[in-house]
Amino acid sequence: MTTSNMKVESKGNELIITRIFNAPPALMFEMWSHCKHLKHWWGPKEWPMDECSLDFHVGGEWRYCLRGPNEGDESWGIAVYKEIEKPEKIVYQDNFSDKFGNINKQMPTMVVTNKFIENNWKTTQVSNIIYESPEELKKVLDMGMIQGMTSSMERLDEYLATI
Amino acid sequence: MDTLSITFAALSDPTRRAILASLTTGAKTVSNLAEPFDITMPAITKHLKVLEKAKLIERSREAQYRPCKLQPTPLKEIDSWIEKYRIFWEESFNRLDDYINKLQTKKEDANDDQ
Repeated sequence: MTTSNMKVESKGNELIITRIFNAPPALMFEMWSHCKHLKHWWGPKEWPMDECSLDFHVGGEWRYCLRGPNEGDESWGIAVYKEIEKPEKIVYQDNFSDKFGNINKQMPTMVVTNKFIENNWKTTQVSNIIYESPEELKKVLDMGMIQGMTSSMERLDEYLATI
Repeated sequence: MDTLSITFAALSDPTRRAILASLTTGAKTVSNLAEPFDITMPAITKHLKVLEKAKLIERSREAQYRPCKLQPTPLKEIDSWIEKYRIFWEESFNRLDDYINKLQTKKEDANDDQ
């Protein structure tokens, strides 16, 4: 029941997730704009949000920490709001950071655009997530190095299996 | 999520990327690997430790000179890193759906009570 109305499209570095929620757009907008709501749902089940502070206006920051199942597993993020149009649109740029708020430039950043479209007393939420890989990683991907390496390793494995 | 950031960090250095590239042609010893670089052996060893910790290479325990071998698994993961993040969103939205349904039920209960 929980996954039946979710549509996920993935093209290149972009994910588009469309999902219908049983709430009006105004309530959906609230879900994204207060820590007291975000703490109930942001993050995977095994990595729930444990700390949160946000300053909900354009240029303001949302800082959070997700904690995983093992001692010391934590992931900090800093999102900066780019556009806010109540109650239909929220755009932010999300970055990985350390707990002191220093952005980790080795990790990808993502630009998230959430749109809340009224749909018969429900809301169609369209989340467009664009991942920007860090420059260094882009170099690795562009070089085709990963494909080259993995395919040569696979060939080696196949060959080893035959001797 | 965590392994991914270790892989990213390991790949962020040009020397380490060059080491990996040179290992695509087969296992090599530390001194073989150090040859093309103008850096000291301890520096190479340090890079190898980072790569080993990220499970991008494996060092044989058998031979005395402990040759290094490429390990493709973390690279495969990074090749599909966007897929990994997709799980993040799907799980979050499942939780959001549950939470909203709970909130709505609570509201209806409160209305019934009135």
